[in-house]
Amino acid sequence: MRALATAATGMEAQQLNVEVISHNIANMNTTAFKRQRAEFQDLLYQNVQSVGANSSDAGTIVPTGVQIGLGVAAGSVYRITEQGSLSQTGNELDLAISGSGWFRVQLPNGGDAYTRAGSFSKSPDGQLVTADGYTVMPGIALPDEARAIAINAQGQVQALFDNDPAPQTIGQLEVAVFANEAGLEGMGENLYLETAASGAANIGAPGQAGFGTVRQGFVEASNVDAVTEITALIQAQRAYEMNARIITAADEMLATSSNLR
Amino acid sequence: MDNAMMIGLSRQMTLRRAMDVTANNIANASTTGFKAERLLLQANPATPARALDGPQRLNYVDEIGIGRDFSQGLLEPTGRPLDLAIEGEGFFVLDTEAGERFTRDGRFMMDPEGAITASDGSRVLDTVGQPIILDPQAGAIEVSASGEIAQNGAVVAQLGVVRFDAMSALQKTGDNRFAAGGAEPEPIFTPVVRQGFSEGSNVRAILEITRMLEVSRAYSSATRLVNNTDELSKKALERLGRP
Repeated sequence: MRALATAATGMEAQQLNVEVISHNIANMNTTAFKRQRAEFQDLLYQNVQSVGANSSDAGTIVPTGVQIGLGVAAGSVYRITEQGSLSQTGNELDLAISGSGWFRVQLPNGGDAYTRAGSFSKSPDGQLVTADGYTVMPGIALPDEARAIAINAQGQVQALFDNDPAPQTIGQLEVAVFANEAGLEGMGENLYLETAASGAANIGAPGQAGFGTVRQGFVEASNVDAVTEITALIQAQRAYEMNARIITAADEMLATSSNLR
Repeated sequence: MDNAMMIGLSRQMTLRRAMDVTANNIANASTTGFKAERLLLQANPATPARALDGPQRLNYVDEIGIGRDFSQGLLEPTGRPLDLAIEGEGFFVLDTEAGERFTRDGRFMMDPEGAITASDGSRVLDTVGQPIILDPQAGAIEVSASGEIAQNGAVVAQLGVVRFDAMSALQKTGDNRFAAGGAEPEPIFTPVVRQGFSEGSNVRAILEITRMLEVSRAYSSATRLVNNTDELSKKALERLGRP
């Protein structure tokens, strides 16, 4: 009986759904976290009676046919890169991107990763680094004697010194945009890697056409919405139960058959 | 005598199929753009089951086809600019390796070349059957309710949406897609497309669970029928065989 296997695929799919939802809820307070969604697709169909087959010698054809589906499979788990809300922190090295774009970060192995979590700090050797100590590209040296650091919407970094009213420009931040942001590969620690699906990073200055702007003193909150997730969780749980009911019912049907004398 | 047993068996076979169809509906309760199905039954027009002294027409039950409920699924807001949903009738057109496929699952992506694609990379076609290629660097994508795709305020493409007269000829091919199966797609010039929404499955849970109970009870009664017939012939043998 196909119903048993079909319902099992349904349970598996809902299990994946709950896993994705629990990951979203666990990351409700993760800086710049982008919520994910499991996407499902129906599986193959078995043609019991093909559409268009001849149903008699006179040439009449079957108008609809009998196709029996074999269940459901996970298509992909994609990321919804909707803007998270910006929360004010007052920390001068906390940066958020408003609009599209990612900060480029150099990994210890020399490769590039991309992040929207802009809670940056100053490293012991004066560089602008992420919370994990990875350099924010293109590399900005923050002078020790600076009184304050000002970063404008276009990503220009300026330092203010004592006894000098004019700020000095010490660097320019850059952001990267991708053709298909959903194709970025998450590597944990709020970092993402470029893939063939995302396309090559297009690097530019914040505020240019197609690039977001930088906000100093803000971080981007997670875009997980608790109500949506809990609703989705309830739906997933009920769907799981229904699939389990199908298994019970199919089992009962088989039992009645096997009890035939 | 055996007629009842055979007719009971034909009922059991169709009920098993009906259960398979219901299981598939419930398994796809969260599948975007899924359309619920129902097994259609008829009395088999040939009447091989006939008793010499009994009623004139005895028919087996047979499945005649699958009925699909093409009603609108719930539109769920997703917040993704490339999640599109059709309100009312129509299908998006995809260019797959196996030929043109039609879908109501409008969760599209943009590939590195800027083409709008489905999740497996099949390209979405416009009204004249060409892939829709946008400029990946040109910024936000706006899709109007009539299916016009605009970037930076300028309309760059028109999303192809088609309908069919003979909906029953459509064949499901999996991956939320339909093959035309001989039906001729006709363009819809004024579709209603919603950006940032995806169409949920139109499977109605209560209906399916009720259907499931119905099938499972009907199966038990068909089994009982077979059982009783068997009992009857057993008794007949016992009686008649008695000296």
